[in-house]
Formats: sequence, C-alpha cells, structure tokens
Amino acid sequence: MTTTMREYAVKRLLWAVPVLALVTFIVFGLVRLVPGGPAVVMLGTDASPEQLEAVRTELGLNQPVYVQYLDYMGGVFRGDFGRSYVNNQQVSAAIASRLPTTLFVTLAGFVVSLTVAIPAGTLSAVKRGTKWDSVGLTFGLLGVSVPNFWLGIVLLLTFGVTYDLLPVAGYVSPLSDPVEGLRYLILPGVTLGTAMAAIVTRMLRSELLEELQGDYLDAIRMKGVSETRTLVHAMKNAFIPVVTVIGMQFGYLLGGSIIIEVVFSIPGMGRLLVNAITSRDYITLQGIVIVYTTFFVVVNLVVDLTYFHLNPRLRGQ
Amino acid sequence: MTGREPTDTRTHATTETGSPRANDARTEAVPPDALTDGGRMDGAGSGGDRADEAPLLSVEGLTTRFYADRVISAVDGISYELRAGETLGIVGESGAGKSVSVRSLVGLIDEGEVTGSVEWRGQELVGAPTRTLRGIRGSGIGMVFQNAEAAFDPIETVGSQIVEAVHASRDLSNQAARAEAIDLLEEVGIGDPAGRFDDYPHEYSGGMAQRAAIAMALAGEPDLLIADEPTTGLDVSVQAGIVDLFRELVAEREMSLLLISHDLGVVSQLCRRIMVMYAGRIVERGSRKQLLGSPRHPYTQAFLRSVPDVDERRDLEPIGGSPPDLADPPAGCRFHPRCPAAEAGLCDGAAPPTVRFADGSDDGAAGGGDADRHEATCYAYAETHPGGDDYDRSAVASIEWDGAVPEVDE
Amino acid sequence: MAGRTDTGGESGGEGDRETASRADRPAVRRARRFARRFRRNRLATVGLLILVVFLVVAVFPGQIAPQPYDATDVPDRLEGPSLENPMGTDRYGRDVFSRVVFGARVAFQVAVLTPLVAMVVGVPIGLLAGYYGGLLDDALMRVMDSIFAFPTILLGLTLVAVFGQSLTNIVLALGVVFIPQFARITRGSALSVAEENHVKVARSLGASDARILALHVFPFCLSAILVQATITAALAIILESSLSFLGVGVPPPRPSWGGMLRVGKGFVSSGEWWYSVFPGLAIVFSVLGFNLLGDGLRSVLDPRTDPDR
Repeated sequence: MTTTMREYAVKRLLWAVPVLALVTFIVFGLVRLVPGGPAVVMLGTDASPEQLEAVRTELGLNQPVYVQYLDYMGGVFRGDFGRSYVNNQQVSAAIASRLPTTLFVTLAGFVVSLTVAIPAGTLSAVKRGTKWDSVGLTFGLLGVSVPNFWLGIVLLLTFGVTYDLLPVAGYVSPLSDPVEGLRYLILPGVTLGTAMAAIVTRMLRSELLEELQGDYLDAIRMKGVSETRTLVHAMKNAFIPVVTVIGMQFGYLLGGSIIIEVVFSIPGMGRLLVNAITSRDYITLQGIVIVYTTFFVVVNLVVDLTYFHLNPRLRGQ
Repeated sequence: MTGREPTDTRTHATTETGSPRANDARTEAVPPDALTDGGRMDGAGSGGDRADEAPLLSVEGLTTRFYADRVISAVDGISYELRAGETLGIVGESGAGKSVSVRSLVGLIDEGEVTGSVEWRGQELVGAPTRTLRGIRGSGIGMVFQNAEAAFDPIETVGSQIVEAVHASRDLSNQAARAEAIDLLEEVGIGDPAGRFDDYPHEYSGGMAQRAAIAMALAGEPDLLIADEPTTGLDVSVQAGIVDLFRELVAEREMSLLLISHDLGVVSQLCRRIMVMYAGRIVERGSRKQLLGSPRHPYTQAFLRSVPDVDERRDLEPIGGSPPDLADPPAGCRFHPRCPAAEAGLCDGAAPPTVRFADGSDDGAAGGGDADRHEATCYAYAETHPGGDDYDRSAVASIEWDGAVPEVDE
Repeated sequence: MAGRTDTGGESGGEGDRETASRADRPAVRRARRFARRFRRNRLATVGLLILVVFLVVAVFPGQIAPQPYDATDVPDRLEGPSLENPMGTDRYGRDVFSRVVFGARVAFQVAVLTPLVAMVVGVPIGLLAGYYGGLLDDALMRVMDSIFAFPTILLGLTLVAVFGQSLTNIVLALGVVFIPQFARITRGSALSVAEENHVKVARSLGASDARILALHVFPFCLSAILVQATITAALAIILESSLSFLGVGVPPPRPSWGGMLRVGKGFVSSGEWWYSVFPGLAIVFSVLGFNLLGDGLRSVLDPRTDPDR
C-alpha cells in the first residue's frame, strides 16, 4: 500500500492541529498564570479591589479558563487578537504592520545561511582531510559557539562604526527600496545566518561523507558517467536529511530574529515582543507568541512534506 | 616483498607469460600456438574461431595494495587473459581478493594503489586518466554488483538510471534511450517493462533488481560483462533464474563474461574456464572440467570438499584454520599454514612455482596461450626440488583427488 | 580490509559461571579504554581543559578577580584596556575583567543545572516512550512536540516573562525548553535496545520492567545522553546570555555576561568597544569548551558515527 502525498499531508495536518491547539492553549494558560492575574498587572498592586473586579469583569477574567480560551481563539480566527491594555492598540494591527519586516529579516538569514552552507558542506566533504575541510570544520565549530547577538555587535563595530560601510540601526523595506533595503539587511542577515550556516554545513558534510561511501556510486561510475554527475547523485541523497535540519533551524531563525531586531534596532515583531514583556503587555505577548509558533509549525509541516516528497522510500509505508 | 611473481621457469611448464605480448605491450601479438577452444559450454558463439585474435582483456602482474596503518596486499600479482566470447570464472572464499581484483581492472579502487598492467583491446588501463576509463566503462566493460539494490540510486527511478547508462555510452535521443531501456528491461525478463520503468529500486524484489542491474550494465552494449557475486544473497530459486539469464545473454550478445563467486555451482554452470584465487593470488586455473574433475592445488581440493554436492552423500569438510592476514601474509605459499601437504622449509620459503599439467586442453590439443592450460601454483608438483633431487613426494600422494568427477552439462 | 578472524573476546565457550564473576571487569576495562581513547582525541581534551578553567573561575571568582565586581571608581569610568584594567572599565568605573570573572559563576550554574533539569524529566519520558511504544509513545511525543514547536528563545522568553526573573526560574525555564531533546534522544536509543536479545531474555526471566529499564535500556542510552548534555550546556549558556541581553535574564546586581553586553551595546557607537567584546569572548570560550567536549565525546563513545574514521 503506497502512501500518496495527499494521504501523508492529511496525516501530518491531523498531527499539527492538536499540537497547535495545545501550543496556543499553553501560551494562553501561561499568561493567566502570572501572579495576581493580568488585572493586577494592569492596574498595579495598590489598586483597590473594586477597580480590580471591574477590570476583571471587563476582560472576562472571571469566566472559566476554557471559556476564555474559546472566546479568544474565536477572535483569533476572525483576525482579532484583542486589544493591548498598555497602549490600547489592536494587537492584530501591531502585528500586521511588523510581520513583513520580521519575515524579511528571517529570510535574509535563511538565504545567507544556505548560500554559505551548501558550498562549504560539499567542499568540506569532497575535499575531506585537506585544508578546505579544516576550514569548514573550524567554521562549523565556531559558528555554533558564538552567540548571535555578540556577533551582531562585533559586526556592527567593524562595519558600522570603525568602517562606516553599513547602517548600524533601522530598517528600510526592500519592497519600497530594494537597494537600501538590502543594505539594511546585510548585517542582520549575516548575523542571523551564521549559526545556522555552521550547523547545516556540518550536517551536510557528514551526510555527504556517508553517501560517498555508497555502493551505488561505483555502479554509476561503471556506466561511464562522469565523476561530477556521480557526485550530484550522492549530493541529492545527502541533501534529504539536511532538509529536515534546515526545517528545524527555521525555528532558530525565528527566535534569533527577535534578538537581531533588538541588536540592529529593527522595528519588527521581535522588538514588539520584547517591549511587550518589559511593559507587561500580556495580551500582545500572547498574540505574538501564537503567531510565531504557528509560523514555525507550518514551516515544519512544509518541511516534512518536502522530505516525504524527496524520499521515495517513504512512500511505500 | 619477495616472491610476488608466482611463476617460475622450472619444471614441465612454460611460464604464464610465455607469450611475447609481455614484451611488446602495445602491439597485438598472436600467441605462439593456434588454439582451438574446445567448444563453449552452450555451443554458441564463435570463441574458438577467434582464438588467434588478440585477447580482449590482458592482465599482467596486477597488484593492489591498501595503505592503512599497515600495508595490505589484497591482490598480489595476478595475470590472465580473456578472449572475446569467453566465459571465465574466479572462485575463492571471502577476502581472497576476487572483488578487489576486478575493481582494480576498471579503476574503481579509490584508496589503494594498483600496479601492473591491464590491457583492454591493447589499451593500458592501469594509471590511465579517468576520461579513458570512462570511455571503456559501459561501452566496453559492464559490471554487475552483488547487492542489486545497492547498484541503484535510491531516489531515482530504475528506468531513468538505465537511460542514464544508455546516454553515457551511446548517442541516442531521449525517446530512443527510453525505448532502449524498456527493451533492456524486457530482455532481462522483467514483466511489464514499461510500467516498471517508473518504479523505484526499493519497489523491486531482490531478483528483479538484479535483473534490472544487469539491464543497466548492458545498456552500453559492452563486450565484457563482469559480474561480482551476482547471485549471492538471492533465494536459490531466484538464483537459478539469474544464472539462466546470464547464459542466454552471453549467447545472444556474444559477450565475454567474467564471473566472480564463492559459489562453485554458479560458476561451473556459466564458465568454461575457472581460476581459483586464494589470499590475493591465483593458485589454480583450468577449464571447468579439469578443475572440477581433477583439481590439483590442495586449496582447490579443500574448497571442493567444503561445498555440498547434490548427488553424492558425503560429509562437508570445512577448511581448517582461518584466512590469512593480508597485511602480514604467510611467507612463500600463502596457503601453507592450512595445507595438509605443506612441507616445512619449502612451502614457507619462496613463492611456489606454477606447474602446468598434461591434461590441459579438453580435446588433447597441445597447450599454448591461456585458453586451455591447466596450471597450479604449488611445490607439490614441482619436479625438481630447489634444494636438490631428494624431494619427499609422499606428501603429494595425500593430495591425490578422489572425489567424484561431477557431471557437467556442456 | 584484511580479516583476521577474531577468535578472542567473550565468545561463546566460556563457562557461564565465569561470566557472572567477571560482571564488573568488562566495565572497568571499558572505562580504561574510554579514558585512553579520550586522551588521544585532541579536541575533547582541549574542551575538557577549557571547562576546567571555566569551573575554577566559576568556583573561585574572588581569588581570581583583582577587584570585587561592584567596586565603582567613577573617575576611571569608560577607560580602555590597560595594565591596571586588562579589559577596561565600565560606565561606573568598575573593572570589566573582574566582572567577567564573576559572571562566570552564573554561566556555569546555568550550564550545569539546565541539562540536569532537562534530563531528569526528559530521560524517563524518552525511556517510557521508547520502551513501551504504542499509545503512550504517541501521547508523550505529542506533548514533546508541542514544547518543541516553540523556538527555544521564544519559549524561554515567555516562561521567564510569566514567572519572573530569578536564577531558579531561568534554570527551570531553560530546562523545560530542552526536555524534548533529551526525550527524543533517549527514546531513539531505547527503541533500538528494546528489540535486542538481552532485553528479551531479561523479560522472559521475569525481570520487572523498571529493572529492565534501569539496568539494560538506560545504560545503552547513556552515551547519547552525555553528548546531548554537553550540547545542551552550550546552548543554555547562549540562551541565558540572550535572555540577559534582552533584559529578561538574571537580575542585577549579579553580573552576567549577557547583561554586560546589553549595556555595552549602548556604547558601541561611541567607540567603547571593550565592554561589548570581552564578555562576548568569555561566552564564546565557555561554549566552545562544551562543544569541543561534546564533539570529542561523540567520536570517542561511538566511533561508528564519526564520519572521519
């Protein structure tokens, strides 16, 4: 019985939905767990009980948790993430205005990472044991040992302050001005992409090394095929497990973008999130976390489907 | 390393390399005696008529060494010839160097050093640039490996990989290549070839995968098909089918076949000539009839005794001892630690000479060239003892063959 | 490769009573073999050395740092590196080097405690899931996946934001973040062991599940867990410093490297680079130690997985 792509997609969706539900519920619940409840947070600890009660009724905090949850989720599906009681803004509006920015930053990191990792990993494996390999391995080791925000600061210092080449803070959307937008994305992209590049390089190298020992390669050579084409066969095989790693790394990119936005003062969702935390704006916090997590789950789903598609051996399950 | 050349110019043998070809590497030399190939086993092919042509494949002193923390001599100076249309089998236990030797022929040895000479149609392959080797792979020499599924890239369809083989050696349009691939699948006995074209390797059963691998090896229309343990790991019933397939293909395509196996039954069904390898050296060679009927080398005899015989009830006798460490092989004859007839001071000294036997050539024609020589590399048959004439031949008596002469259908 | 048939070792043929009395000798032999291989692996040894230095600095900061971390000296504020202050001074005139040294303690505590927390919960979950399989496995893994569904920083941020900043909370929050990794790794090893013969034999002899898990399954997972622990330690340091950088980490006055970088970033444009660079280097150094150790452990404990063999 072969599993078609559609069947597999359905199976994965059925998995993803409960996970998403669980995740959103966790976030929702967490916020409610704040000592004293959101009402105290909003009004301060020296608010009178009547004031607290008023706020609680207004926000519906006296109802059972699951009712609140369903209410909230109902709103989410309608696009209503509630209203922040700190700045009285619609959370959905705040998120919507910043989402593209965060996406661009994340994308920049993604592009940088793969642009470096694929050649580095391949070269490292093919030229195993030589200088190139050592370079690749060192890069791999350092890449995961350096915190991205520190790297960002160092890069800022070098390229922004010491040599005034690139902008130190701020953001221009590539949609409105591609060239400037790109300039503003270079440092954030490099910073964000380095750690992921290191991990993917390592993974690609190790997978490719293993593939290169495959028996089928000799059979391919015996057909009279060129060494390059033989290598391509090996690479395609090696890339498949790497795809899953890339998917996992996307989560890191999402999380890392939060920090990068802070380092480079980019007005994205991450900055909004950090501000929400420091100002105890839990409704906004809730909304943003849900958006991030949903994104992550969706990306993982796509990665899984891609993996399934790429690997014919899975279809016969 | 002394004693690498197993041949010796003593006793009633001519040297293996008696033909003048050894000296003029590049000319197409004619062996001194015209030789009638005593009929191919299935009667097809004109191997015999082409006996006076130059051999397709000429291996001379092929040596392959691996350098790890120790030097491993996996193949130690083997020489043989293969003519067009001939079927040659190499048998031996695991680790004897059979696979390594054929991989060394076509430049598939990645991490080892190959020395000696391998001539394909007069062109030297050892040390040849990859481009030369590529030209020969597929269109001159095709290869089938042991684990059939391992011959295929798991993420591409079988059909596309056969097409890749076609494209690598022949100049056909995509459509023509695809049609050719389907034809090949049919030729090797795969039902619904057009449908199976788009299947992935893991969707093929073991036997079918091997057939497909054979199809892939044939895609370039090679003159020589090398099969490295093609039936090992398959069900016995499936094996029979593969053996039949090889037989048909060799006949219809007039190909040469170089078959490696530790399964004597398979080799004896397909190969007119057989060579026995042990620890990287050829210890005995001859026609199938000679080798199975009157094996001379103690190892060959031991090997035959360790193989079950359908017709005769007898005890299986495993070969005592264990295979030698190729990084530190026994001195002299590499089999001497396990040989019942070994003589201290003799067999553990210099490498033994190669002796030719008078029963060479099936129909009694005088020997010459490689084709029907029956030879063994063993001191037991040396006429003169290196130390003088007082040679204790009582040990030789112990290796007289008393096994039944097997029925071999010609 | 040349095969010398290995007839040595614990092949069958030894008396059974002998094996029983030698029960601890194979372990001792294994330990010695491990130590030997470890020493030969240069990376692992370097990693271990770094960690020893790290440990010493974390445990004895007072002895190593020339000044207490809060000794202000306002006239000397924002001075670059000099003989007196090898890493310069901060905005209050405090010696940066001393602060970096004291910051090691927090980092070390996080690095050691976080994997412990994650292991204590994650390993049993993984063992149960891998050994029993079926519905339990599914359920447990779904929960793990939902934790895993959060990008680590996000989860850490949220948890700390909700429960408040303190060292305990941070360690707990980070520990939770890494539970799924341990669960997954343990489960993977447990799955492969569960089918092994010696486990089946133990079961047929009537051993309780708990006993089997503890004596047969768990030891098998140990090497993978150890490697994962070093990875987690490294990630925990980075994560904690990230949280501190964002202002959500260990609260002052305790110095933390991430916190120093948070302040230091503000001085970047005015050129006082030392306050941002040196604490960061400390982070890199300590993380590198754990990563090297982890890499080394991986190749020593299970050479088969090392692509460079």
